[in-house]
Amino acid sequence: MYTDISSSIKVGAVFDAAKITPRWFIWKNKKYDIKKITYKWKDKEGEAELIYFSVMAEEILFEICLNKKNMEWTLVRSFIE
Amino acid sequence: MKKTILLIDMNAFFASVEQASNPNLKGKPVIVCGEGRTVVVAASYEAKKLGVKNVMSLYEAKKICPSAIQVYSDPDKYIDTSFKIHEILLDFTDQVEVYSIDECFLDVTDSKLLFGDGIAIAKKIKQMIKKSLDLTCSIGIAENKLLAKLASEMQKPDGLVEIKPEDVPKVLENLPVEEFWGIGEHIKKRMNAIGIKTAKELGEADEELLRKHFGILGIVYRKMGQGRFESPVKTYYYSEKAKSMGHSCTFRADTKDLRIISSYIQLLSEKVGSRLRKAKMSGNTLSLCIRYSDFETFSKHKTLKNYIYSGFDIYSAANSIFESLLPLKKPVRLVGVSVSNLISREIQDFLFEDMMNKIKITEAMDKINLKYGEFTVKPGSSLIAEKFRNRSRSKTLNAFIKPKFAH
Repeated sequence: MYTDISSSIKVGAVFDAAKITPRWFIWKNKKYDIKKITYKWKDKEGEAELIYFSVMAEEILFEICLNKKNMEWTLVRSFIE
Repeated sequence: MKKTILLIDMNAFFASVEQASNPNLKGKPVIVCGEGRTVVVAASYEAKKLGVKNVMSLYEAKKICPSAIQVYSDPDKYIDTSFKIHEILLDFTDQVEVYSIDECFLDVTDSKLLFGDGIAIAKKIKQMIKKSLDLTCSIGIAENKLLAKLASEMQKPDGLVEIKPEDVPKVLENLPVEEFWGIGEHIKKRMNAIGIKTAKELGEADEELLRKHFGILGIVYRKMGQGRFESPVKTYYYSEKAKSMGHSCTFRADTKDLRIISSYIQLLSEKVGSRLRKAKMSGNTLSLCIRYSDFETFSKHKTLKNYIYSGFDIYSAANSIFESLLPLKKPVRLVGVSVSNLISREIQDFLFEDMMNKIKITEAMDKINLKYGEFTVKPGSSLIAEKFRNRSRSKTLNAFIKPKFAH
């Protein structure tokens, strides 16, 4: 089931022209290596473009979001079976 | 020249997108519902196989399928996915008519020289959607939209059906009339009452009889019964002039609290006003829709002396309709506000000062909301709706709520 988190995180990502690929993130002092990006979608909040990623890390599905205006990353929610 | 029309229908769209984005959900029965609501909006094919149907209550669905995984709907994800599908379809033709969030018509008559016949194009589309989005679709191919839609429904999921012109009489011979796009339960009953049960009977029915019972639509129905349908596929970039603008909202929980309902009406009025101003339009007919907890729906409209476009004016008119309904018979689950009879708006030099001030305030609000997000600045009473929205959330949610409205 999904659990809302909405926490600020540090993310290591590769920026290749318009393509953004998150590689790892740190949440609560723990580093999570992203094994797979399963989905990606966009949304807007005012002028800010938001990019969402569904990622698998340590067998857990996380949703992380990049606010392209202030370049802040948020851990949105996680899914645990 | 005979046309080649495709209808692309994404399979169990919302549930499939959830499964594509979360590998833990693949192959499992998934039900998608609105947050705080109790109706199944979409079910995966695994859930459908076990008897779950769309629009079923969550309670019923869980009873039939206790192992089903419940997921809240994420409209932004589905809309973005829909746009990605459009990009794929536009690779083949610009004659892409978006029928709904998960259905598109394509006219590939002129694309066949480049990409092959209808079947070849359909196969490529299916492959591309599967590869880039891990989603399946059913595609119907025929010489018009009516038959293409019919074909798309014949094989689900992951179907590909072509109705060739020579197959049309056989397909329509015993087809029940209600299988046709646009013929619902009510029209079906009226047709059955005059002895028309199948498409063939409809196509052979007396014109005068059909005119008598269905007016000018009777002739359209007769043509449908013969497999004829003339509406062309619009281009993707065609935009019809809006006839109305409106918004509705289903509450997290049914309520009879007048302050909450009124607050939602105000929020929706601001939303409609914002869209009107963006489109430089105004309207003089206001409609209010109320849906009660038992799904009984009430709708009333009011034509005003002046053309309006500010949230305040829209709310004044909508609220006056709402007050005429009081006292409420039952709790309310949904309200909707819309403005119609639209015209293009021009600001006039001779407006009175207070109207000018209202316009300046409204325009300032629009600028701030555009920059920082919808409802950054809003009427104070709309906070009531927000508090109600947050309070009635499911207990499983984490206590931290993203402060979208905390300004």
